[in-house]
Amino acid sequence: MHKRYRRLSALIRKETTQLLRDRRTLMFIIALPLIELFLFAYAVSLTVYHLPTAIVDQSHDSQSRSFIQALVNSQYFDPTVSLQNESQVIQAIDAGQVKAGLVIPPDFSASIERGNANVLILLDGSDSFSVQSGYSAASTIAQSFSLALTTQKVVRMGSASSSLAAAGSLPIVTSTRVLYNPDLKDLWFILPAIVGMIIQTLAVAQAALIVVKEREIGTIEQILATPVRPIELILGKMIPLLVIILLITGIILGLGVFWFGVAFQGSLWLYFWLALVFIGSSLGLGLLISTVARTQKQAQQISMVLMLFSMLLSGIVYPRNAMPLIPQWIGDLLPLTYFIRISRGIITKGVDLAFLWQDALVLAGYCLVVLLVASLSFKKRLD
Amino acid sequence: MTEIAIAANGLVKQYKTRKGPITAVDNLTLEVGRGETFGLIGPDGAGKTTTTRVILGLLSRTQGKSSILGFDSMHDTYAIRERVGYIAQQFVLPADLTVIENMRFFASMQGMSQAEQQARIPELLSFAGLTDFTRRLAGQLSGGMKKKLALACSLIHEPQVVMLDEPTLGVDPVSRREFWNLLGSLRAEKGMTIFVCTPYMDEAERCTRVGLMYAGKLIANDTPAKIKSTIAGRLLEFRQLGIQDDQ
Repeated sequence: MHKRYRRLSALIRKETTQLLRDRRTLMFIIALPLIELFLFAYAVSLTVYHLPTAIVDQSHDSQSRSFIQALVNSQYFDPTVSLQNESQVIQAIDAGQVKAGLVIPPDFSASIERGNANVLILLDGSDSFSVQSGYSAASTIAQSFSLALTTQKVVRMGSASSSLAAAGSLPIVTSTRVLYNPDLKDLWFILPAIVGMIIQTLAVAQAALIVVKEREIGTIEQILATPVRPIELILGKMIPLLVIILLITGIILGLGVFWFGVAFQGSLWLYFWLALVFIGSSLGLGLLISTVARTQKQAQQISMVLMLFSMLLSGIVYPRNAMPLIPQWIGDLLPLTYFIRISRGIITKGVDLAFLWQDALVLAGYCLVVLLVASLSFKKRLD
Repeated sequence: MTEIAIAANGLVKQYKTRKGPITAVDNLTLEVGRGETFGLIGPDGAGKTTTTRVILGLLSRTQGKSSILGFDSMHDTYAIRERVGYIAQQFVLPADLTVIENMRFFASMQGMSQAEQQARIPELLSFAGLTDFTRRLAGQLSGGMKKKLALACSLIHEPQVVMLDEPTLGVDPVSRREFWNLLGSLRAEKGMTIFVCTPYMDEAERCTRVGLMYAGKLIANDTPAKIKSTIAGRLLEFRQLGIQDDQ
């Protein structure tokens, strides 16, 4: 038992020394997650602001002008051209001049009075993010705009208290209702997922590389010639990685909260423990890759493919329940899929284990199985 | 020959390739007694490294039996690894650790306590002539010093048997001689059993017994003098002036 402990601590010391001495790799490990975080947060915003918009105002009165002004004020739409009719707008969209078009019919004011106002918003369907943001922005604005109008109308009729009841008969009714993220801040939604993706990418690649590297340069031969047990070798390599990745997780979360102003609603303590399990699962996945990859290059390539799958299938950007079954099943094999729900649950919604126990349990089982398979496939021989 | 330190009986090792199995070690039988210095010589690709690795339990065997100090290579692997020192053919100590870190690492891997290490390491460093280089990274040592460091690390747990796979490969003649002098003193002082693979005939002459290996088979097994006498013709050796052999 003493000897086991001595071997394990010697391995941990060796790996830590090597990790700290290899400045280039260390820079890579620390800098890359931060670059990814800032790229995602700033460049790859899901909402598209300032869509170039063609305006067709056939009503030309104070009502239509204030509606247009509301759209402009939202910053989602920038009126760039003024046109005459719908077909001109479609032409402009086809030509790529604008991404959106607004057509206000001649009887706009009158129909608002009647309570059945109708405006036409045209969006460039070839750009799905523009469509999504434009659509949700326009309907939100239409809703708030018509709500304001309704209130006015009700006041004029002399019964201000019935404004809420009047909401049932709004001129333009939309069913958009956003929970948890009332200001539609993308980062609140995307940051918990980015944290998970950065951790998984880092853990998988580093775990695979650290093992394959030892095999590739041959030092494994001299180490295997000592009485070291496979499980000690694995733990000796994984424990330093676990610590450094946990630190990076803390840094990213800290930046998310203090730099980007994302509200951390739930328990930090619970997040810490579940992140630990998640990092363990990802390291195990990396170990599995190391049993297949023969060179560091191969290990890196396999990790990249895995990252691509994670980006697309784990629910970071694209909702999983909209996917066909097979991509959903592939997503089920990634630890990130479970952790994204945990991460969003704790950070954005502030829920606890009572709601997350299923994902937490699956992740814990995943961690155990993957580490078990990895240590069984780790041999005490070279062949 | 009183006690047997290393034994192989009908040992076969095949590598699986896409074109079918390749036999690297073919029905090899040998015995090395305690305190002997056994040289396994043969050209590159004869199967020396594979034989060494299989006997050590670093590779699985296809057929036959092999053991060190009575421990089976496959089943008692850890018992063997606690009692045997090994130097691989290439330099495979962690190059980004210093000399002293390497010594401490391999000492701990053998389960030695701090106190044991503090008593043992300075002795080995001076034996290998590395006392002045303890803070140097292993990767920045000269070829000869690397081999001496590897030897020092393999001797850290006072093994009864050492197995050396071409320990003087790529080392200059002076360092080679120094290295063999170290081995000679090990045998004389500690009665250690030494198993060494080498392609050099002059190194084989320093062994008490020599096995000649060719294409996976052991084709001769005798004292160096007798092996030499069975080979017809004369052995020609080219030497640079000024480098004296110290025999």
